[in-house]
Parts: sequence; C-alpha cells; structure tokens
Amino acid sequence: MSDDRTLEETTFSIPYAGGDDEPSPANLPGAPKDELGFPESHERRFETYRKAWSTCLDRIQSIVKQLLEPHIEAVIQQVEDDSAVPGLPHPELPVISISNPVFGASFLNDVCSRLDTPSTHLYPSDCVNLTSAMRALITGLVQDTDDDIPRVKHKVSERLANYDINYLAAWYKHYVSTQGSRPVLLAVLHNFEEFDPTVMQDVFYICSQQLPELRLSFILSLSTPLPTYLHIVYPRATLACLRIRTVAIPNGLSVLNEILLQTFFSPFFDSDVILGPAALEYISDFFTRHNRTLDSLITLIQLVYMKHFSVDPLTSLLYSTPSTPSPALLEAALTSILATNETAVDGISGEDAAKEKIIELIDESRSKIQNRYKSIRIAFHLTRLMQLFFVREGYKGLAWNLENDLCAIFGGMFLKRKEKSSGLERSLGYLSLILKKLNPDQLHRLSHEIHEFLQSIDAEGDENLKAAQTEFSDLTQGQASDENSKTVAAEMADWVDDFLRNLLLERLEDILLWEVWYTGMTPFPSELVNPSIRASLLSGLLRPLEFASPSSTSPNANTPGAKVAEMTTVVSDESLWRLPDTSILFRRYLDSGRLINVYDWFESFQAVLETQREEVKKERARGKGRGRKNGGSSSPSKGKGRGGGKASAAATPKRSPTKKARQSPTKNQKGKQRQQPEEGDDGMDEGEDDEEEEEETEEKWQIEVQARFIRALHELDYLGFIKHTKRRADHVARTVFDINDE
Amino acid sequence: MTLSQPDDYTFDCTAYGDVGLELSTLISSYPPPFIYIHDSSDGLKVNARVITKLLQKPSEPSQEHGPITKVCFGWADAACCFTQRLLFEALIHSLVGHTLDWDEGCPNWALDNGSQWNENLDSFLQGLREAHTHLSKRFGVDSTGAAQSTDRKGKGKVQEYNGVRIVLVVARAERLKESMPELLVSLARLRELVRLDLCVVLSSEVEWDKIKSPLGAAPDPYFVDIPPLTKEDTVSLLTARYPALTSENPTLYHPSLKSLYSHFVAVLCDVCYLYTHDPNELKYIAAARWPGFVKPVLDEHQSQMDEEPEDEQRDIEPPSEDVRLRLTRLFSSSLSLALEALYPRLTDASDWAKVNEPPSDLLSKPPAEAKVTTASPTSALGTGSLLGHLPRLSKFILVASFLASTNPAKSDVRMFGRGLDEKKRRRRKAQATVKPKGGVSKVPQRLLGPSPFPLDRLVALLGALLEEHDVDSRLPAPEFTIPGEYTDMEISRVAINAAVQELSSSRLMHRTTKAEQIDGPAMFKCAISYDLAWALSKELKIPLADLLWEQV
Repeated sequence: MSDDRTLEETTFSIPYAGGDDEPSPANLPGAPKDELGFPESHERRFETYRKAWSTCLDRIQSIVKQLLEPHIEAVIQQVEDDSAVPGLPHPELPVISISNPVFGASFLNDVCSRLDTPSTHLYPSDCVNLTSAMRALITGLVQDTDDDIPRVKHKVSERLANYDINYLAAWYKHYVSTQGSRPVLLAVLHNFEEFDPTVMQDVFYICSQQLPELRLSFILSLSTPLPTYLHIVYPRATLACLRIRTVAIPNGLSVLNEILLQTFFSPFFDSDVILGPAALEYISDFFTRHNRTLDSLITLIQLVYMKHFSVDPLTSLLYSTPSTPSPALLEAALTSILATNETAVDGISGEDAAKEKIIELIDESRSKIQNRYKSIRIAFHLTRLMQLFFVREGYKGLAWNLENDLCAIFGGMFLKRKEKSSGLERSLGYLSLILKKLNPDQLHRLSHEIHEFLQSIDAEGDENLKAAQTEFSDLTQGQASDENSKTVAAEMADWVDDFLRNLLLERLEDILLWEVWYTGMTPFPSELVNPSIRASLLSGLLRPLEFASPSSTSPNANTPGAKVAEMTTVVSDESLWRLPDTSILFRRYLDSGRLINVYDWFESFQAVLETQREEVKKERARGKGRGRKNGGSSSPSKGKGRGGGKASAAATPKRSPTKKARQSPTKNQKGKQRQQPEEGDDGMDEGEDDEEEEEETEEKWQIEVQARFIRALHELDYLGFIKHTKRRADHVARTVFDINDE
Repeated sequence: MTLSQPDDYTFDCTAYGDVGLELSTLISSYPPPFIYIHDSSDGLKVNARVITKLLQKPSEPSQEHGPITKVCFGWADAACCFTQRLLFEALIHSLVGHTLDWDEGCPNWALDNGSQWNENLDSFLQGLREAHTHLSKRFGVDSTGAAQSTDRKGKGKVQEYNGVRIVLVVARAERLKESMPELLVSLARLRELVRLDLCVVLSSEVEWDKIKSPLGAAPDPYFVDIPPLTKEDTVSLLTARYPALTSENPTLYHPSLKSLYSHFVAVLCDVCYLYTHDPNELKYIAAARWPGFVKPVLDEHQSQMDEEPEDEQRDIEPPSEDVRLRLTRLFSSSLSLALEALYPRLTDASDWAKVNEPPSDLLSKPPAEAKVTTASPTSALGTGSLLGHLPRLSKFILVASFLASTNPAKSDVRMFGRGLDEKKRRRRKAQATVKPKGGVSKVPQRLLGPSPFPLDRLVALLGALLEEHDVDSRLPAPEFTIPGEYTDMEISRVAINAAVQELSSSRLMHRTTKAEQIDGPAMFKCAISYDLAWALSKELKIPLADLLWEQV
C-alpha cells in the first residue's frame, strides 16, 4: 500500500493478506470433550449415529411411501383417464391440481417415475415470460425421450423455433409413429402459485389449441388444498379450456401422527434412540405452529438424534460394548452408573473385575431399557385401542384428543405413574370402570381386538408378554354365555388394569445408563432451527467474545498462543476496548438518546480506540519477555496464515500473542486492517519495532480510526440499527431501544 | 377419439350466413387489401380456422366462366404466435401447406436458394413473393403475368387458374397490439408493400379503433361486423350440430332422437339465455346434461329390448309428446343448477354428468316418485377447510395482515395498546364505533380494498395478537420471565419471516415491493377475503369484530 495516503483519497484498497480466520475445527463451539481421553469414542459415536439415524430415516420413508401410495395411484389414474362426455364444443386440456402442502416435490417425482410417458418439470423461474415458458415446456418434453434430436440438423433460423408449439407437434407425430401408441405428454408445474398467471394463461391457451392431436396434460402442484386458486386468479376464458380434476393429499397433523405412531410409538418397530417427552413435544409443537412439511419434520428428528450423540460420549455404547474399552470410557460409565445406583458396583475389588462388571451392567441395561420402552409402547397402543373403541361405541372414554395431543399423551407414559401430572393413575382407573360397564356384545368385540393386538406383537424373549398373551386367551375363551358377562367384564377389567400397571411400573430413568438410549427431558435445541433473529443479533453485538472465542472447556493446547491465552482468560475482563469495533460502537449507541450526533459518536468511539491502543502497547510490553521465549514458535504459525514473509515479519511483533489468541475473528480482521499501513515501512528486524511504531504519525492513526468508525457504522446500518433522518444533518436515528443489557 | 372436432367448425349454419357470403364474394372477386372482422357476437370465438373454412368453401367455384383466380389462404392465431417469427412462420407454412417433418429436422419451408424469410419484415415480404411464385407454379399459373394482369389468358395449354390470390387471416388480432405493435401498420398495408394480389384479414373481438396505431399510420380497413346471435340463431346453431354428434356417438345421439334434442336445446336456451349467450357455453352445458336427459328414454328402450329379445334390431323410437313433456318437466330445474356449476367451471362436464346421472327407469316410476336430484358442486369457493393446512402461526399472520390492511395505521395504538389501566381499552371500543362527522362521507376501507403495510407493522400486530390469544397453547418456557418476553422472542424468529415469505408466495398475501429491493421495509397487502379472515379468527378465538377500526 502506498505511503502517500491522504484524506483526499476517497477509496482505500485493503488487500486480503491471508490470515487468521482460517477455520480451526478444534475451536468450534460445542466440540466433543472426548479428546481428553476417549480415543475410540468420537468415531464410534459418529458411526453409531449414522446407523441409528439411517434406520429411523428408512422407517419414516417407508411409512411415507405407504401413506402416499393410494394417492399416487389416484393421480396416475387421472392422468390416464381420457374419457370425456361426447359433444363438448371443444376438447379440454386435462389439468390435475394437487394440493400438496406437506410432501413437496418428492410426491410428484414418484408419480412421474411411475408413468411411462414423457414428462417434464417446470418451475416458476423457468417461466418468467411466454417464450421461456414455452421453450422450457417443449424442450423438456422432447428431451425426456431418447429421440430428442432431429436427425438432420439445420441452422437455428432455418428450422422451427424451439418455443413453437408446432415443433412439439411435429416431434409428437414422429414419436407416435415410432412408438405405435399415443402417450400423454405430462408437464408438472411445481409451486403453481408462483407462476405468473398472465404467462400461464397463454400457455394453456396455446396448448389447448393443439388438442386433440397433441395429448398434453398438466399437473399443478398447489400449496392450498382446494383448486380455488385457479378459480380466483385465472379468467373464465382460461378455465373454459381446462378440465380440472383435483387430488387431495393428506396434510396437517394426521401426517405427523401417522409417522410418529408407526415409529416412536409403535410396538412393532424398535427405535434405537428413544425420544423423550421434551423432544417429542417440541417436534409436535413446531409442526403445528410453524412448518407443516415432511422435510422439516425429518430435520427435527434428525437434530434430536444429532444432539443425543453429540452431548454424551457414552452414546457410542448404543449398539454394542467394545471388548476393550478405554479407561476413560469406563470411568464415565461408572460415574453415570453410580449417579443412578450407588450400590451397583459395591463389593467388587480389582480392576479387571470392575471392568467386567461395568461391561456386564452396560449390556444388561441395553436389553432392559429396550424392554421397558417396548412395554410403554404396548401400554400406549392398548390404551389407544380401547379409547378408539370407546369413541366408536359412543362413549367419551378418556377424553383424550388423539388428533392434537398425541405427543403429550404418549409423553405422559414416560412419567412416573404415581405422579399427578401424568394423570395415568386416574386414566387407568377410569378405563377399567368403563370396561366393567360394557355389554356382552361390545365386550366380545373389544376382547377380540385386544386379542388380535396382543397376538400380533412379537413376544420373543419376553416371558411376561408371552404369559400375558396366553392369559388373555384363556380369559376370553371362558366368556361364552350371557349370564356371566358381568363377571367376565370385571375379570377383564382387572386383567387390563393389572397388565397396564405392570407395563408402566418403572420409569426409563431408573435404569442404569439410561442416557445412552433415551433422550429424557433434554430440551430440544430449538435455537438451531428457529432462532430469534433479533435476540441473536443483539447478544452477538453485546457479547461477541462469548460467540467467537473457543469454548473455555477445550482450549487448543497445542498452540503456544493459547497457553498464554489460558493464563489471561483468568482475567476475564469484558472491558470495552477488548471488543470488536462494531460492538464498541454499538455499546455507545445504547448510551445515546433517540437521535445520535454522528460526530459525538465518533469521538466516543475514538476515545475507546485510544484506550485500546494504550492497552495493547502495555500488554505487549508485558508480554515482551514471554514473546521472546515464544517468538520462535509463534511467528511461524502466523507466518503461515499471513501467507507472506514480509507481512508476517511485520505483523508478528505488532500484536501480543495474548491478545491475538483471545480475539474473535472479527476482531482479528480489524486488527489486520489496522496493521496494513505499517507493512510498508516496518523494518524486517523485530528489534526496530518500537522505534518504527513511535514514528507512526498521528495523522495515520486518525485516518485509521475514521476508517474503522465508518466501517463499524456501515455494519450497524446494514444490520438495521440506524435510520437516516433528514431532519437534522449529522444525526442518525436509533431504531432499537430498551435493551436488557446484562 | 374426437378427431372429427375440427370439422365442427365448418359452419354451414345461419349464424355466419350473411357474413360468410359477404366475405366469400369479396375474396373471390375484388377483395379490399385489408379486411377487419369485428366479432361482437359474445364469444362466438371466430378463430382463424373458422374463417379459413368459411372462406374456402365458395372459393372452389366451377369453371364455367373460364380461368379464375386461385385463392390461397394463410392463417395464424396471434395469441399462439407471440413473436414476429412465429407469426411469419405460421402464415407462410399454412399458405404453402408446408408439413413439418421431425426426421428432416423440422426445417422451415424454403425454396432452393435458401433465403431466410422469418427474420424481419423485409425478408417476410420476400418470403411472400417466393411463396407466391411457388404457388403459381404449383397451380400452373404464369406468375409474372398473373400477378400484374389477371385478364391474360394462358398461352397454348389450358390454364385452370389465371392467377394466385393470397389471403392472410390473423385471428385474435388484439394480441398484436401488445406483442408486436410495430407490425400492425405493415400488415394493414401489406398489399402495397408486397405488390401482389393479396388480402389481409384481421379478426378480433376488440374494435379496430382500440387497437389501431396512432396518427393514422394504418389505412382504414373494410369493416365486417358479425352481429350478435339471436336466440333463434343460437338454438339452430346448437341443433345443427346433431349430425356431427351422431357420427361421434351413435347411441347417445341416435338419429331418431333428433327432434327430442332440438326440444331439449330450446328448453336449455330458455333457461340459460338470461345468463349467457355464448353458444360454446350452451353446448357445454348441453353436452353435460344430455346423457342424463336421454337416459330414461334409452333405459326404456333397453327394457323393451329385454322383454322382446327376438326383436333385436329394433331401433329407438322417437319419444312421444307426452314423454317429452315429462322429461322437460323433470329436468328443467336441473338445467339452471348445471349452469351454476358449469359456467364458472366449478366442475367439468364429464364429472358433472357422471355425478348427476338420473336414477334408472325413471319413466316407469309414478310421476310423484320420479325426481331428478342434482348434487351441488363441492363448494370450492367456500371457506370451510380452505386453510386447514396452514400452521397455527401462519393463520395468526393472515389475521394480522387482514387487520393491518383494513385498519388505519394510526389506530393501532388505540386498538392494541395494552396500558396498565383498563380504562384505555374500554375507550377504544367506544372509539371504534364513532362515525365520521359530516362532510363527504368516507368510503369504508373494506370497500376500498386492502391497503399496503410494512413488514414491521405486521410483526407488531402479530405480537399483539399472540400475546392476547396464543399464550395458552405455548409450550412451557421457564427461561422467559419478563411478561411479554416470550412473544417478543417469538415474533422475531426465523420461522415467522419464513412463514411471511411462504404466504406471499402462495398468494395469500401480496408483496407490493420488489423482492430484490432491500432498501426500506418490505411492503405487503392482505389477500384474503373478509369471510376467510372471519373464519380464521373464529378458529383462533380472536374477536375480530372488536379489533376492526370500522365496524362492519
């Protein structure tokens, strides 16, 4: 950079010199703590996560497939349906409007892959005007087949334009003659609401003019459930060209309930990770309140999985226990075991014995917790089955709202039965009460249903369940006559009551090491999917260091700078001058009134920078001795980042290692900007540094402060904190007030 | 299938009678260079093919009077030909009868010299001349002589034609004004430009005065007005299709049922003529109702066949006057219902016919029992489950957008402000009913349509609504201790902004500022109706009436 920078110059170029902000994975917040002593754990956990999640995802996808199957059939039938009442004034263009708010494009892709006809997908961005829309439609259809290029090539101007419908007609004629059939040409319009109606109006008209020679058909994917959109937006003249059919796809809560019922609530599917009530309720709440799409649902469940595996290193034990676990892992397991049951490993002496005992306990818990979880699911299904039966028969039953509160009801099963909040105790009592009042016919049907349900469960390896199955069979066989129906009802009520009580006897949290398999009451990491923009913006500006600095639990012990940093983090002062420029400016912003005089603001900012300059000098003076010692190792590391020998030489002594390690990336960037001017006149020798610095003219410093001020100001402006007012020159208005500072 | 449809357009009916005669006389004798057909007949939909067919018929006269001029037609639909190139190609290809072959690479029609004629007007004129030469050769006309002096007789061999006359028809010509306004004048003066025996026919539902270029650059055309159809014309137009329909479906449109059909059409026109004169719509409704109307007759015939199986070939007899009257009485009420469902296309004809099929053996039942019921179309425009798919907060956003678009911004503090004392809130109710005093009475905002509002205001209103009406449905959040903090966090969340975006892309809200504009707040407009907002607020338990500034 040139030396002759003056105030007259309006633009400065600050070349990127490589630098400090290269990503260092170890510094990421929330990094696993197992580097400390879990050599096998990290990778194993990732593998375990992958396995568990792919099982879950496969299951969800197969459920979705099953859910959509009839609807895919319906759409295909509509597409192939060519019947029309004879005597219509003109042929109609078949249009199938699909309301598809939940499943997105995957449904339509399935439809297209099933149909053996040329098809094309059009998106709103393809159809900004009529020419592009027609071109997208025609080339899409032509290219969907093998025979996409005419055998003889002509110059573009010598053949038909590829947005001319006659081009498509000619191709179709050829296609029909080679195929021997007249297939439907399918165009799928995604997000139909976003298409420009004036363009689509013409597209529909043009296509309808080619009927019946050209068998075109459209599928519109709408996000509203009824074809009202077409009727509201398109003129009658266009509607008259179309034959609109509708296919409605399940949407809303029923999809969520269906998926949950067949995954985490189902006694027929063993989920490896057990989602706790907190996570389930958040998922359900988010689905109801914010985003009703399958994609978001899957993302939420996946996040729960990810969090589960990233928080606890013990989760690597989810599937199996390694034969030679590391001592740290064993220790962690032991701590966890002792936290639940203090006497679990009493009376065991010797390291090997203890190790074996721990492994044994782990394996035992694994099967135990799965059994317990299964009993909860069986209990839930049985109760739900009876509840549905009662509602069908016209009873109120347990007054459960299975549509809206499914997650809450299931979550209640995880709680202790005796706990009031779960309401389980009362529900069970009420169930047996209703059971006793059923008439023989109802009783017979219900017992039949329960019997079928019990028989359908795989009781392999579960003696209690096997016993229950035979017990119930015996119970139902005896109730042939009408006279003893009262007693049979009472018997059955007692049996159901006992059975459910046994199933819900123990909480999952009572089992050793439950946290390996069960997420429990761990809250959902909601800030990851739905953060509050304003709040994160403000907290970022108010406490930037907490965001950017490596988490204090995992200091990067290998770099020499960090060791120093470790020493100084003890002096965790949040003095203003340590913050990045934007934060400094923002703090001052908070202190001001409704209108801010920009010059005053600048002066206050300058004052802080002066302090910063002084402090940096002081710290460097203090760190000099240390710097000499560390100098050999610290400069190369920086030099690598800086990318140039000269730059590194200039930069290294300027900043104390202490400061460097402690600073946020943003801060470092600023720092760099500050150092740039000195690069030119800085000597190669470290020793001359001080003198060089003293020679730095006050003018240069002023320019730098101004530049930094303007930059920070613009950043705040960009973030929306400043409103430009024309009422008073030199003033800007605040947009944000009343911030709860600390 | 319905391949016979285009023939349907060979209107021999009376509707076009006078006009057809006028046009064909003009074209075959001495046509004006530029004819403008204004179709005021309320949707008779004169498309290019119709005119071409209309003109073609009389242009094949006998050769009694010696060689005549051969008339060749080129036609295009200006709505389909949205660029100049497409228009030129459509005109010339239809003029020379060029067929497109995929195997040959869909080449344009071209003479051997390979000149381009689709690029601009100049080349198009050249192309027309070439086409003329080509056609002259094809029909054995000496083009140079024919073009200039039509009276020159052939030399030596007998000439069938003494010249080629080109007629170019452009339908829906009003579209030319938007898509290629610069071409209108040139088309109007095409004969001057190309110096051939040529006539341009433009046809449109719009008057020439509305689309002609300013400053009188285009010469005035020869005007041909198609008069509106009378009811009798419409009836005969519909009845005249019967032979074509018979060939399409001989059972349903049996020849002996023709008189029944003409009565049916007469009744249909009686019922529907009040609402629509469009013969296409009437045909559409007729097509939907006829299968049901004729079903009792066919059923009866079938049962007679079953009784006397030996008489297999017995044909359907035309129904008696009595049966006809009975059918008319039974079905006349369903005709207006058909109109209600089919005219706005709430359902289509095939579905309607399927759903509203009358019970079998209707005629054999006693008159008191025989009834034709019509299923009302699923009320597609109802509010019922229309927005059931929306997440809860999107519903709140929609209600907030409705309030923001209906209430003046100044009233917000008073309507939603939640002072510590309840006095203020009480006052706002009284305030809300205040009528504007004297002067020019103000038009209610509800009738003016939604007013735009910035995103900030929407979010603020949303916050007020959530704080008042959504607290109960939230998950417990112990970390928020200050009253209102939860809402404050909630309204600035990513999901809210995403939902606003989502709603505006599904056109439940209109964004009035451009998406790429980042300077200043995004402005929106509410796009849901009052009824919908009412239904939503009822679902969310928001007292909408109390929150509206102007009482409805």
